[in-house]
Amino acid sequence: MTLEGLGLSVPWFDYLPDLWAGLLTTLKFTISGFVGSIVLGLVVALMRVSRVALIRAVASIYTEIFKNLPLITEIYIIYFGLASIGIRFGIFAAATLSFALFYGAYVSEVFRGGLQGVPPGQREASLALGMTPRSVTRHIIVPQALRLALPGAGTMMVDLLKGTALLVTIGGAELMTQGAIITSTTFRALEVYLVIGLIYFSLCYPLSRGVVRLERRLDSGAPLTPSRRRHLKLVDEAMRRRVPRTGDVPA
Amino acid sequence: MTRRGVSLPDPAASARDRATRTAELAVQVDGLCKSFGTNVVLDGVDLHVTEGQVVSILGRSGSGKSTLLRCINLLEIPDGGRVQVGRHRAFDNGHALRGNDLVKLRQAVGMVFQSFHLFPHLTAIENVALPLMQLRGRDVSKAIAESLELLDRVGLAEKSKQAPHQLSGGQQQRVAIARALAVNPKVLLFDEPTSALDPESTVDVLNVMRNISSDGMTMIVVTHELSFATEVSNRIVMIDEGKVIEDGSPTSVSRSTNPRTASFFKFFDRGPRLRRDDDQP
Repeated sequence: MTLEGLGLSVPWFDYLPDLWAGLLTTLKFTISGFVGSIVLGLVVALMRVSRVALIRAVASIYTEIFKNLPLITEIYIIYFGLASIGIRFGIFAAATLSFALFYGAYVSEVFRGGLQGVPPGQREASLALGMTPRSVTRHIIVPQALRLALPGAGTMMVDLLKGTALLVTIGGAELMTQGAIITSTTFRALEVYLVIGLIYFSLCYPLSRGVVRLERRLDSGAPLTPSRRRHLKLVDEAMRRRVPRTGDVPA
Repeated sequence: MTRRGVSLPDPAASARDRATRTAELAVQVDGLCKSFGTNVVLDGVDLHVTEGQVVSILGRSGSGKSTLLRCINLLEIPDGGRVQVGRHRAFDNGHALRGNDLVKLRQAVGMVFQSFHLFPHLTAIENVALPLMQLRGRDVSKAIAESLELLDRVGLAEKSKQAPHQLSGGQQQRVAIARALAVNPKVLLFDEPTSALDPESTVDVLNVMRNISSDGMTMIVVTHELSFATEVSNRIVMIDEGKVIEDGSPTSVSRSTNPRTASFFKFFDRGPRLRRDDDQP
């Protein structure tokens, strides 16, 4: 079947299952890479602001190495290079590791900026209340740093999604690989890659907009976690039970 | 007494009377020294505050007032001297409390800052509930009920679900006071709590402070509000160049013949005035 009426000559309906499989694989790599890079990035960011010089140095060396290597080089080293010395990874493991290491370095910088962006008065006020340094980090500093890091981390996630296309070089079976396969069969490179590009755009654009919306919701103080939603529900209940006093400031 | 047109309601005389009834020392500072590099900020400061007293600390900017407060709850570690808060020996000639003992000291000493320092990722009520849950082991429901009571006490229960940036400066400071009260401190330190506020908000905050003092809270207040210092405090301590130059009742200090003190009071009585173009130098 062709879509000639639309000016398309590739039988796209025949390739729908392949494209769907490629799309799911792309999302799988994106999610695994994103989770890996966020976890690694947060740990490395905390190491970068550690009081122990050795910990700071280790985190700094990691960041500098992986920030200054091309992603494709990392993928080749992990998938092909390590295999040559007997350390073999499957495509999924190699891709996840590559993305986590590469984007983890960037995300750690974004988080470090977030941690350092929290005003010193916040730590001081928490300590003055009698909170322990660990509790201050967990309840005050990290939540604020994550909010500050959100725009940068969101951009990273979009970049990571697009970066999965590099897995075409190791036959990652993601969208770009499917595009290459369809092109090799139909010889319609322009049409195929335009459609593949359109699919990437339709994934990335809503993601970018979603991050912006999330930022706005956070700025308005809206609760995002179930525990905070529960807290604010309890506040509503307590407010309803409360007898208003004269001289109350209206909400 | 008025300052820049700001008038306060009737003074709470009970705060002054209370000080004479109690004699237990809440805060004892002896020979406190602190330098930043070659800059000597505190040079042998003594300050004894009995339970229930309200002490206003006055002095020019950079005289060491805030550093004195910060040395009491060990946000700054003194270089020498002795600091005792209730039964907590905070600092004794080079030995400062650490770890769990430091945490307990700070829970006994609440602090309110000039810049409020509310947690921006939490609503007003969550700012108050967090220390109740984290430090006093309250469950969520109880913490919220108690937080609402505390916000009620500062007149802001209806603003419970607002984020800090949705509140005015004065409202933020009142939430900060409610948060400081949440840990049930024995002493409250105020570091220029109204310096960043407009006159109307200043009165609101000072009224809340006056009410807290009426409830018997020991308070040490670094302030430029002479109305508060003279009407609500039991004592005024003047600090100049890291030394205590006056320590006495508001009446005696305001009538002091010490040139530095007299010049300070004269300036504030007259009120700060911007120089006009046609003023003679």
